[in-house]
Amino acid sequence: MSDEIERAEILDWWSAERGRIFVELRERFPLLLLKIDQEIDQMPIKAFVNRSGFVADKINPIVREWIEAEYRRYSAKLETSLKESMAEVEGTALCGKWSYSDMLTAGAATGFSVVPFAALPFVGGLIVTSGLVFTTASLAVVPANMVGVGIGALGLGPSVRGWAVERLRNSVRTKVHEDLTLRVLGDPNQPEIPSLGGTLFKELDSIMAARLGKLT
Amino acid sequence: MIGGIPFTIPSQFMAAHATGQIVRYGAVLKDAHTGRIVAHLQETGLLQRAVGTGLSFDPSGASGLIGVVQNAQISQKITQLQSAVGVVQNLQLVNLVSSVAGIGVTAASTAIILGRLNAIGDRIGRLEQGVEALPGVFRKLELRNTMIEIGTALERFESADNRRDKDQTVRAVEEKLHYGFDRMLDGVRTTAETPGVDAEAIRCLLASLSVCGAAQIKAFLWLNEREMAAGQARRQFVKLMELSEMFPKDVLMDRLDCEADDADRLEADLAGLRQRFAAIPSLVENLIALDLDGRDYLERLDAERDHPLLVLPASAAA
Repeated sequence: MSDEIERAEILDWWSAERGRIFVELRERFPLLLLKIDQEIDQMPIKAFVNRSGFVADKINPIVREWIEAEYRRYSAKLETSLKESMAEVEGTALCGKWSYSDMLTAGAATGFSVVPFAALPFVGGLIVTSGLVFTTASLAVVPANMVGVGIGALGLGPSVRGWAVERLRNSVRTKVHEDLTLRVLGDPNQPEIPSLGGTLFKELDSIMAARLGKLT
Repeated sequence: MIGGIPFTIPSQFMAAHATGQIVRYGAVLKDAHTGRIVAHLQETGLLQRAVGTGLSFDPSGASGLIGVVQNAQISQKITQLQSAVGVVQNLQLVNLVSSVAGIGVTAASTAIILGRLNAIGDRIGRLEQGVEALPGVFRKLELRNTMIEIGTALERFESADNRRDKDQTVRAVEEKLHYGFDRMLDGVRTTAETPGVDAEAIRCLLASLSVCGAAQIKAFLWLNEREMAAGQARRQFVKLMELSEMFPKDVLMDRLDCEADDADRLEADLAGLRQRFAAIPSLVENLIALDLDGRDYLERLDAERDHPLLVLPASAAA
């Protein structure tokens, strides 16, 4: 008996959910950046010397909390959407027997879905693993260590120092934004770097594979 | 029974549709509880002529290729038709006709298919002539040439009835349409993989893919090679699913760097194609189960003058 209709409906659901995640993540991501920017705006001068420490202490907890909350939010929505779609396509009987996590476990790809986000490397770790070490000193006219200890000794006035600090602050902001974009939205060209978007897409792919597999 | 074929009219399903017992997915009516197909909706010659004549309408039947004004014209025409023949609006007739899925384009007269193909070919020709923002890969595919070959094949299909070697002619047409389908599929894949490609180019290719696929199945039915039609319909569906998996909505939005509206239209076109291609295997299985002659089926639909839509109930054996 033909099952093409069910297959098409499952793919409709999968594509629509991927599209929704793509759009919503881009709509909500600026909320995280706003929070991070507030921290960077308050970044003390001495923190420029140990920027990775600042990122680990101040930025990472915010990012971790935000990503975990978003992950839970998306998972809950996907669970609801999956149940509705399964009731429509596979029928209410089967729908009652399978949960979102069951479908994930049954999916072709395994493992990624149970990786707790808290355990994944955040901005600091990500920077190291991806080779994108904070090399932003070169972007600033005045190196960070000079801002911390040397500007006064050089006899530069407060306006120059303020300008240099702002340059450094902006370069930190730019770099953190880049890393967070990779971390939250992901990059299809760098799938090896874990991201919230990439993880959700993999989960959806796995669920689709499981649903299609059950039809055969 | 209409014209020797167990067609019924859609109004018989309206009550069940209104109460949610039956839902529509493209051209298929399904039992909401079991998911089982209960009937196939088919557009008839009356509907085809209503939307296909007197309008500058549509290259393809693809929603994205029908302008707002044209849609309004179609809508008006269909509304008149509805009031004339009493088709209940619950089935969203306008959406069906103006979507890429259409309904039963498989059964549309060859002349209308040819008209659609020519209009798409003209659009592709204009795109190829444009210098701006069209990647070289699109030109290299030489799709316009393929469209011309397919158009020639369809003209031969149209005149097949008057030929002594009619079956042989339609077999050759079917082969050409098979080639055209695969070429268009490759065209969509290659074009959509090119970052920044114009969304309209992809919509044109999807529309021509749709026409080629439908016309090939029609050729098999015309030859009454129903098993071949069912097998090829399944293969077409599998290919379309593979294509769809390569280009979910997020990839379309990311790759094309287009406006959300463009991505929505493209996704709607792809979903419409899936609906259409998904329905054809079960339709052909139904013809086999009911032991209906493929050519009789096509001719009966084309000859219908009273009802814009007919319903072929699913056989229990299908």
